[in-house]
Amino acid sequence: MNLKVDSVIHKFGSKPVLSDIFLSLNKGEIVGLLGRNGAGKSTLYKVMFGLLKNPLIRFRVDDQSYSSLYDRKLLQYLPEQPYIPGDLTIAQALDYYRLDQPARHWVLSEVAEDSQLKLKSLSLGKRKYLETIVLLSTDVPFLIMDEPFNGLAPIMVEQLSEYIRNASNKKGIIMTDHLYRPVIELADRLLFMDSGTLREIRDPNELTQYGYFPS
Amino acid sequence: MYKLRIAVLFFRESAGIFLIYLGFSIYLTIIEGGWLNILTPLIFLKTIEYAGLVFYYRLLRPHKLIFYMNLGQNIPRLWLGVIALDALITFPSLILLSP
Repeated sequence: MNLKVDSVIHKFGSKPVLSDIFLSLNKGEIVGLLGRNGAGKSTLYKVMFGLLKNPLIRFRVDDQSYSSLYDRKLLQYLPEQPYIPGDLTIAQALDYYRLDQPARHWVLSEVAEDSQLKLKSLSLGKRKYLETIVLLSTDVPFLIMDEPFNGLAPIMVEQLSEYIRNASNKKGIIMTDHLYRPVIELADRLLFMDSGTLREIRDPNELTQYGYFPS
Repeated sequence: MYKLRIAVLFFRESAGIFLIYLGFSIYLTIIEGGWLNILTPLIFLKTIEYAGLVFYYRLLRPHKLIFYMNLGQNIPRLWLGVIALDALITFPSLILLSP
């Protein structure tokens, strides 16, 4: 299964933010998208997911053409900030996403043993971890993750990396995080975004050349 | 049932706004002597209410929609579900409370 989006252009007013973006993602693949602050990564994700309106955008999933993917259960999005309403309990959140028993077990053993706890009572790191595991455990074939490691302790970064690696067998994942080491380790392919354009990175050392790492 | 649960949750998140408008509609019904007499202002009120809510979710707090979008819910259809739930509460209340 392959997802393609082509010629994505987006402007805020007259200011271009995304310029002619082409992106391809296969199921079973992890793509790491790196770039400096304000490069347009989050805008690209929001446009792809449908949070920012872009009437011209078209997606191809295998041979089918779509104007939006989220409502066909083809794409999910993990934003930087919490997205599950905080007054839901852990059990309710897992019910809404119809998580299977192994995933429920993982969440409850890693985040909180009491499934009746409300999400707003969890620390930001645990909540983010839970919300990430939830999306990694669904059957939706493509997933965008914006800063999944943000706010996580090193041990949780390690555990989440393992979970992402396993989940990528049945998903195509595109991820961004300023904690770049796990992204580089996990990614099958690396992309670099600069001023709204994307380029393929063949060697992480190129990132110094493009000004992402200090020289 | 699953879609209804999601629509109810979405409705519940804005329950405060719905209650304020319901209270105002009931007040108008009572002072105007019946729900039929306030039909035009009611439609106007509801239009303002929904325009405000859509503006709030679409432009001010779009991340609040991500939960529903990640569940695969089409957002315009979700709004239709909320409007239906709102109508199910508002109209019987106004008819019952008409003098």
